[in-house]
Amino acid sequence: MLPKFKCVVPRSIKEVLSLLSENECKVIAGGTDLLVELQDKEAAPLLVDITKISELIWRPEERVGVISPLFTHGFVAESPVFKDMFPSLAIACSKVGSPQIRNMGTIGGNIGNASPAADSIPPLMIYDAKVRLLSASNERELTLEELLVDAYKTQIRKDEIIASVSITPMEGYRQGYKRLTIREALALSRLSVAYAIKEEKEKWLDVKIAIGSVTPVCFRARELERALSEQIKDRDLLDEAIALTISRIRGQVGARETHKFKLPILKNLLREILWGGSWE
Amino acid sequence: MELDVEDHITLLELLRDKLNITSVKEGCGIGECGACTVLLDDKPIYSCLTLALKVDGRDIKTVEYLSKDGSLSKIQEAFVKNGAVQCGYCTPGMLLCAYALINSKKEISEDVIKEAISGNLCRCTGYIQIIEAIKDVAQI
Repeated sequence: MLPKFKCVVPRSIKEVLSLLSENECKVIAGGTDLLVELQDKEAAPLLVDITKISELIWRPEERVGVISPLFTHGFVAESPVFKDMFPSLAIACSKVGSPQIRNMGTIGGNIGNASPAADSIPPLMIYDAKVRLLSASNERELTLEELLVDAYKTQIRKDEIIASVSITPMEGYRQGYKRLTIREALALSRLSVAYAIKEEKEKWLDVKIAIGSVTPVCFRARELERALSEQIKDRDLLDEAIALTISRIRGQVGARETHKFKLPILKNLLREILWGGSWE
Repeated sequence: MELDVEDHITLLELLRDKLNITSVKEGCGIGECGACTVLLDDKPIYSCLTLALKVDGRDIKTVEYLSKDGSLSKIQEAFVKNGAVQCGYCTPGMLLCAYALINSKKEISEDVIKEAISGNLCRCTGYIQIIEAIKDVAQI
């Protein structure tokens, strides 16, 4: 059961921001995470539903590369603009939860909730996502990497909303998203890798890799990216670069029981993705 | 239809407790089982995770819509013919997901059907009959 609470449905950003600046509130969009979180709680703050704000609603082709926080996962997964220009993100969104969750859950909510297993976050990171935050008194833009502080913790202040998320297309890059789950459907990612790779037959030109579900915060594997970009393709070099990332993960979170299976799989997944075919 | 609802009431509670539409079931209450599925503007959603006030001015379909003319729709007939109804608890949600899929522009295959009902659990585990019933209607 949900506790009793009030929920307001403002029609403009100005109205939302003034509500947030004056009250203890929680922003709700799809509600697929928030309403689960509120179950069996004694009380809830005032909810501010942002889904009726016309300034936050646009078509993807009107503002290419600018994501509305209200775009649902289902919408992004099916949208020709995202499928063509940001395929890693479209694939990741098609894997979220179930069709019902995808029809309600939003990109803004996925970022704001900041789950280590959020499917949309690694692909947003490879497209160098920048998040525009608005409050009654201020406007600022943070990279998604800056915004995410810890598991379920972000830099978003209580008086701020996500107004938009800008991403950069990676033209000429091989792009995708792979994840490991315990079962096929309705499952959380146990390990996820978003990638965009620019390459020639014999050489990696530019490599972008983001990894989710193995650390409290999804991250760009910058050490691996630096080690491989502009390098002749070589199996030993690739394994060395992967080892850098794996030792970074170990350094960050220490020994974890699940890493006994996750890290060897991550190594194989990265080999497959970066070698661009079968490793064996 | 116009109704006054309290802010914290879910669409599931509105449908069952205020409107007596008990075909919409509560299973898990946290968006995992699909028994509470309804169509919001023809797309499946979990009514247990949707505040009633969010559907103001929008179209909600429950399984009653499928037999609104007093006879079973094609998809319901196919469920009966294929033995796709066992205890019946998941059936309204399964039918609505099947209906939404059949009416979408998607090219339907067995994998697409499985994906479309992946948010609905059948604890009698009668999935094969359900998939066969949807295949019948999709003519594949």
